[in-house]
This record gives sequence, C-alpha cells and structure tokens, in this order.
Amino acid sequence: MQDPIVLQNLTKDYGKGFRAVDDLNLVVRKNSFVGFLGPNGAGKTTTIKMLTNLLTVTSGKAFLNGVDVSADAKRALGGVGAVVETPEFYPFLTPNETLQYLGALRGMSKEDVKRRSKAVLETVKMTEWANVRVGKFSKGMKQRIALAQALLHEPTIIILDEPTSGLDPRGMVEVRDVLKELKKQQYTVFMSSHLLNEVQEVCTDVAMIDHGKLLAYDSVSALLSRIDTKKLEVHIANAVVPEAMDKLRSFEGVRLLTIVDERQFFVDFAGSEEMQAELLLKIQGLGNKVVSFKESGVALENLYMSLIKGSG
Amino acid sequence: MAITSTRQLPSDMAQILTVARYDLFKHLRSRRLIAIFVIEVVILALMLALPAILNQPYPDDPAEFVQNLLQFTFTNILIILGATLFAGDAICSEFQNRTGYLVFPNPVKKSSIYLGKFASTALIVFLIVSVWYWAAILIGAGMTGGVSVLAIQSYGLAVLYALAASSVGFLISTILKGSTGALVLTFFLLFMIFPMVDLVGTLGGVEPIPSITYQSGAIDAILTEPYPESFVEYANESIGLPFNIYFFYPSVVSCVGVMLGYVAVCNIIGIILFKRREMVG
Repeated sequence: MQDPIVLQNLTKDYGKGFRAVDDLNLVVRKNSFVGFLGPNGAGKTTTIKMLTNLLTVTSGKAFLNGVDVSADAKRALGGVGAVVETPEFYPFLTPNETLQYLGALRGMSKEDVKRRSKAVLETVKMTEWANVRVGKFSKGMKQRIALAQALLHEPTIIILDEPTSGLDPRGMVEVRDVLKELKKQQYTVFMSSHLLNEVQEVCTDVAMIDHGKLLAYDSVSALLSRIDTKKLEVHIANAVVPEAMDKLRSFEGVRLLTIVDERQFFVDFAGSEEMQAELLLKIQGLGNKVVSFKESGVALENLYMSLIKGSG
Repeated sequence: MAITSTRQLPSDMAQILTVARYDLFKHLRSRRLIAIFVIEVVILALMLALPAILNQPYPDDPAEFVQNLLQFTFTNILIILGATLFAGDAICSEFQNRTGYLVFPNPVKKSSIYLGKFASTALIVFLIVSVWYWAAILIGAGMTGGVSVLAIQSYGLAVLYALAASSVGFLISTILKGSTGALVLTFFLLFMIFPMVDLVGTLGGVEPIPSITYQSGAIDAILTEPYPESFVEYANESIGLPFNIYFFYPSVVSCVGVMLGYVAVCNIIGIILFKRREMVG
C-alpha cells in the first residue's frame, strides 16, 4: 500500500541563497489528519506549494499517492483536493459554475458535479449563495467555497494551507467544524497551521517545522506525553495570602508559582492527574476559595516553544 | 464514508476545451467586449454617414467600398485593442489576482491552461474582426450589389493579424508580473514601438519584413487593384529630394508567413515561460 504523501529530502532554495525548505523527510500515513506546525516563515507554505506543483522543487522528491509531483503533476494531483493560501475566485462565475469548471477539469460528469456540488455546498453552509457571482463574497465565504472545491471530487488526499487564516472568529469556528467533519471521514488530511489549539483539536498527528527543517513528527498523544510540565491557572475569590503561597511552592510537583494579581496565580506543575487533583485540595486547604482551576493555554504550546527555541 | 477517487482524468484536449469554455464566459460577461462592439458600431455609423454629409458619392466597387468604410487605421486600432484587452493580461492576471491558487493545484497541465485561454481569446478576437468586416461587407453588398473576394481575403488576413497580435499579448502576459504593465506594454508595442521600428527601417531602405505591424499592411493593400508594389523615389536635387524615399508593401505570402510565425514562436515561448513560472507570494 502506498503512503498518500511522501517527502524525500525535499529542498527549496529561493534566490540570494535563502533555503526555505531544507532536506525535509516526511511520510503521511493513510487516513491520518496531520497538522503541519511552524512559525511564520518556517517553510510550511513552501512545502505545500511544492506538493501542489505551485513551486518547482530544488532537490528531493514529493510523492502523492506514489506519483512524483515533479515528474507527472497531472497524475499526482488527480486524487488531491487543495486549498493553498487564500485563493481568489473568478468574480464572473457563481460557486456552482466554479464547481462545474473544476469538476470538469477533474473528469467529473455533469450529474456527478451537480450531486457533489449540492453536498459540499451544504457542508460549508453556502447553499443559499450557490448561484450568486463570487465577486462580492467576503473572505470567509470565499474560504468556504475553497474548501468546497477541495472536497468536490472526493479526493483521497486533502491539503490545506492555514484554512482559518484571515477569518473572523465566527468564520474560524465554521471552518473548524468542517475540519472536524473531515476527521470523521476517511480522508488523509495534511494541514498547515500556526494555531496550536486548532491542531490539537482536530489533528491525529503533528509535524513541527522551523527554518525548513523537521523538528518533530508524531501522533498528538505521543507528543503530549513528552510534555512533563503544564501551566495551571488559578482564580480565587479571596486575596492571595503570601504565606499560603510560600507553602504552595513546597508542594510536590510544583515547579514555579507566578502571582498575577491578588486573585489570580499560575502554577507550573509536573505530575499525574491524581497529583493535580491533590494539588487543588491543598490549595483549598490553605484557605483559598477557588473559583476556577484549569490548564492555561494549549498543551502543545510548551513543546512547540521549546522545539522552536532549540532550532533557532 | 469510504473515500474513493477512481475517476479517469480527462485528456489534455478535453481540458483545453474546458478552460477555453470557462474563459470565454469571462470575456462574454466582461464590459471590455461590449465596449469594443460599441466602438465598432459608432465608427461604422460615422464612416457610413460621412460621404452623405460631405455630398460625396459612395464607391461602386465592393472592395473599394469596404476599404473606404473600414479604413485600415480603424481596423488596426480595433485589432490592437482586442489583443490588448483579451490577451495582454490573460496569464499574469492568474498570478496577480491569485486565481492561480484555485486552478493550478488541479490535475491539469499548465500548457493546457495556456492553450485553453489562448483558444478563448482567439475566438473573441475572431468575433471582433468578423463583426467589423461582415458588417462592412454586408452593407457594401446592399449599396453596391456585390461582394468582393478581395474584401474576404482582407478579412482573412485581419483575422490572422488579430491572432498574431494576441500571441504577442500572451507572450508579454507570461513575462510581466502585473496586469496594468502587460496591458500597457502590449498596446504600445503594437501601436507605437513596432510601427516606429518599421518607419526607421523604411527610412533606411530596409524592408521591415519580420515586423507584424509592417506585414499587417497587406490587410489594406489587398483591397487595392492592382496589388501595390514596393518602389523607390531616388534622390534628385533638381526636385528637392536629397535622399531616397522607399515605399514598401508586404506581399500576401510574407504577411501570412510572418503572422503564422508570430503565432507559433510567441506561443511556444509563452508556454515554456508559463510552465517555469512559480506561484510565489
């Protein structure tokens, strides 16, 4: 069985000696949902552009369903649906006409396009705009149509480049709902993002990249297990008592205690869930009226930040 | 749901036709095409009314009638406008307007996209030239009672010139980054730069055979009977002519050859450059 996406020593040099992607090796297994994480300028979009034949490869190879993209882009992209950057649409076409156009290019019959257009426009909640010219659509609406066209031909591989980028909060939630829906189905999805919560929420695997090099690639659960310290955010109804805080610092698992204001503090904590439950009881035992006790930020964040710092 | 993608990809030719069909939508729904048709109607109406206003008789000969009605200057401007508006930004707009991000990641060769777009442009400039010529030929038939073969031959050469000029536009649009620059360069190249080179060559006694704007002169020359031949008025101080003056007329054969050459060369280079062009930024 072919792995859907294989990158072998993939390298991309731009002019003036700038290497955007550096000897990248990656194998995406079938039916996985891979988050491709990295800071701005890490090489995520360049990698995706090489995968989708928008950029030429300097050296190395990119395979889609076993076909080398550089050697036979038409065949390699046959089973792929992609949303790269934020694509623009032909303003003189409606979403239905756009889907008919792209469907015809992908070898779909008129009936097939009609059936699938209805389904994918429903998925991205754009049915009522199906016959309105795209010219006046907002960025969020265009992004949803972009997702619809990527799903139109029931591809085996979906490649998404920061699909929620530039969207308002409502648009982000809606696109994320579509992504969660994809996760339930048997697609292989390769999605670049710099939004850690998004990746942690929808992805099964995560590849982290910086300066064009792969830093880590594993399942989300395996990566999370590497994280030994979590940041706990504690809100209390009473004022912080310094003596109580001193006692808290000596509790098992507490690495660092940071007082934000008189009713809020952070605890950097390493330990099991049971120890974490014990910690809450101890905080309450010190006379604190706990309003909330929760993990701050995203669990992947610490690992991500440490890897990024290490690569710099 | 089981995800399967077992569809057979269409042939390159089928994809060229698909691209052409949807690109044609763009042209047919654009104001550019309407504007060109309005210009054609206005010029034809003015040129038809002019002899009546000036109390001049209309020519009896169908070829002469068409020649007087169309005037090569207007035919030339219309063709250049058509090539500029429908070819000048055909390729670079895909990059500048970011529509390339939608189309290029599909299983379709860039050469198919290029050829599909060129086919739709060719059809549009053919339509522009056809409306222009057939309106004149039919009006001429009504006024003179006949249709000239020369007018139809001139129409054929005008179509060929429109295709060659569009090929130049396509080449420019694969080279330049921005639509505005490509449109301006296409227009001025065909309207001013090539004709200036033609003029310099002619003044120096060199027939500018490789120039499409020079060769486009055959569109008008073919309507004249007999077909004009190149000649020289030699320097003759007694009549105040200190240098030779050259009058060159392109032959129909050289016109067809050069136009076809431009179509082939510009599009081959255009396809190569388009295939190598990357979607950066």
